[in-house]
Amino acid sequence: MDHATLPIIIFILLFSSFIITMIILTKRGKEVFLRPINGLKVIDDAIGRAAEEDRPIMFNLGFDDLSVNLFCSLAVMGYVVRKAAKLSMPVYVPLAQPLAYAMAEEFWKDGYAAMGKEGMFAVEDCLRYMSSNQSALGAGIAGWIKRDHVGANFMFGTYGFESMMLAEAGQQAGAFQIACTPSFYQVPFFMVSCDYTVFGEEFYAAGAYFNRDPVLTGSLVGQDYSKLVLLLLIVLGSLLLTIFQKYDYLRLLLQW
Amino acid sequence: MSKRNILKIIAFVVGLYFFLEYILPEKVGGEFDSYEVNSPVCVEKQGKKLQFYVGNYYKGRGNIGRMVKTDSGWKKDPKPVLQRSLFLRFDQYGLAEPDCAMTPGGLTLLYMGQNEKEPVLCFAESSDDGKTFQKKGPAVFATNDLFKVSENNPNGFLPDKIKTFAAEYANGQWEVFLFTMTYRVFRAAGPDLKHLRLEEEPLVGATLTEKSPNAFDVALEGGAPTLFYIMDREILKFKKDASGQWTPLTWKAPAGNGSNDTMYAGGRYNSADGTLYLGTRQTQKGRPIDSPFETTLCAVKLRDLSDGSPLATEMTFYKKVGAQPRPTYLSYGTEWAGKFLTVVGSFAIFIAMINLMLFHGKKIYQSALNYNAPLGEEKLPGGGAPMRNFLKNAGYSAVFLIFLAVMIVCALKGQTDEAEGTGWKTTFDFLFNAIQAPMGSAVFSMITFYMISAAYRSFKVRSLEAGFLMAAAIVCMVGQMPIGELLASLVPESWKLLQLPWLSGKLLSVLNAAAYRAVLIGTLIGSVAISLRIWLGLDNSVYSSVD
Repeated sequence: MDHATLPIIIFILLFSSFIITMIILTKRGKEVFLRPINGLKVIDDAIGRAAEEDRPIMFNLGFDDLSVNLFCSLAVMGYVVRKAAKLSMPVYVPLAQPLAYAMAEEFWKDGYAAMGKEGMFAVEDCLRYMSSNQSALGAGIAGWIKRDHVGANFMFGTYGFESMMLAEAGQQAGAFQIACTPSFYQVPFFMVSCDYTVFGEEFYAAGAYFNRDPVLTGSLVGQDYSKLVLLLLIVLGSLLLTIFQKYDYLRLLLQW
Repeated sequence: MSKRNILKIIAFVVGLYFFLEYILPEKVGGEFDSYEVNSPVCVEKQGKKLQFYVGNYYKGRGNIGRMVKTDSGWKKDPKPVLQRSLFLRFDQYGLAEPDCAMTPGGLTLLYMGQNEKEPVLCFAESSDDGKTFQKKGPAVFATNDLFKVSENNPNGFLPDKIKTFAAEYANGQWEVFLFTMTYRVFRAAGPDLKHLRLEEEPLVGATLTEKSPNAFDVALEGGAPTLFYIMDREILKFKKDASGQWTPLTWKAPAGNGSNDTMYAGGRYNSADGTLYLGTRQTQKGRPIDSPFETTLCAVKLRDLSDGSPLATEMTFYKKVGAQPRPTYLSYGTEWAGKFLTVVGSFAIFIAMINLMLFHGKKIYQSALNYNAPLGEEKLPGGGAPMRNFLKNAGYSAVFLIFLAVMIVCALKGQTDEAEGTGWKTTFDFLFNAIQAPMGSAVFSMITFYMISAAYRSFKVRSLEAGFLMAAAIVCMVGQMPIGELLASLVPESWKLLQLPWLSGKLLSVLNAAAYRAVLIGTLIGSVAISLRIWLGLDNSVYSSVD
């Protein structure tokens, strides 16, 4: 495999130090401001609306196998399942990866158990391994959404072309839809079909919005400082390269 | 200690291991040419024979090494004289196919710089017999006097993608021959390597040989070029005859010493000693990936006799790969972890299959109960109407279970070496190629209809932002259609802003790319943050189901 080059090691250590420092500071009581993200704020409303209409909730975990993205989605799914369990609502979870299935089952059961609703819904009715094939997954979920008249459709995680099928099926079923994805190229499809779309690094920030855990909020601030450093480097690099373009050594340094 | 804390400790240890594996090298020690040696080039300076060659420490990461001829044979410099650079993007991935020439200033070494894009023909100069080199960047080609380079064309104008090249320096003039991906040879000449005028017509067309050579070189004999092609185990020397045709002299490496060797990389002819220097590789069946190649440098003495005598008679093998490094064993752990994950994943497939079978089996069972129920006594909603309701409720489930069973049996029986031509294999192929693949394509094509309905909704101009979206979409769509090109041809060249293909290109390559990079940077930093939280056991949300 390729190994980290010196600049990569430096940047990893720098960004990690920002994040850890901010986590320590927030744990010690530093107040931080979290910009409200509408797509995440309305999750409770979506669950509430589905409960009022007595329609089931669906939580899609995307195509992620055992990865950081899956953990992020599962963290939010845990929150949604607990909220739904409180209202005795079923949460359907279609899955694309066998490993994700095994993990999602634990989170799903735990969510209902936490609200004392263990055994209220059969696991095999609510969690269904669909397929690792994108076409089959898209068609299967679209059919499920329409047949069961899903009231709230959450789409978290990584998606490919099936994003359009899922989101449009939800739109046609009249579901309240929230998409949250790091897949940049699927964002336009979600934008046109969903009520709210969250993308980019906000996907990784989703967990922090449900509980103001200082670890999560601190790491968000640390991320912002990292981005600030990168922004300054980009601006400075562009200016220097434009002004001193004849100096080879500077060009070499900037191309590092 | 709670289950959660135990998991956090395991996650930390495993994470630390992977982190170290990423930042530390897999191997330590050894010589820079321990993985592979190839592409030698030999020059003579005041009676002193020097040789430069590509030595790889790891696959695809070529450095240039140097050897000096002594009475006892070739003596290698312990360190490479030219290495890939993190600073220069042209040769970030390594150096390949060197060629060398003596110039009034000293030595000039040309090489193909490997990078994430197309290889770039670069050069470096030395004034101390090649002990140290100063990189001078890419050579520049043009068919006119404008030697214009750009980010995407660092070599200026090239007739085609370069596969390899040959360079000669004589009488204050450089001659560079480019061997392109379409097997044509183009000639360029100039006073220095930054100003090479390229002949528009190729020196040699694509029909000189029937297949692509492994290596190529050109020698100027009396001002006329002679071409050397190396094909697997054969050397071909092409010279123009009186009628202007390229006639070959060939020599095939004999069986015996190095009989399993393929002449595969870099063949440079040294006119001074009439020897072709090249790299050979031992044929190794079942060679483990990442193990060093059995590569050797070799010299073939050529003769230029046209009386039917062989072009050459002997091969001398003189340089093997250097001393091997010691593995740090870190990679073994990640390899093991990968296998472990594969095994766990395989078991997870069983769990997922059981879930599917439970769900569909339950549906069939419930529908079967209703099937037998007397009319008017519905046990479950939808029951009572025998076959129709059964099919409605459980028809797809039954189809799924039947196909699941058929596919499993056909795959087990038909995917073995002995199954070729049997009914199992035919059935499996039919199910896969004639049913699953077209169904997948059919579902994929349905997206078009979804897109149309989504586009209809989103392209309604209800606000200023929607108006911008609409305008940008029209520009991008029309700009990439033939009609866009047609409309652009009606607009003067200087009015770029009105040319839809240009505008569409700018929207995609500047505005869109900038936004994409901004989002990508944020996403990657976000993933670093969450990875760090999980690794250090700070994020409890991922352990919420454990306690």
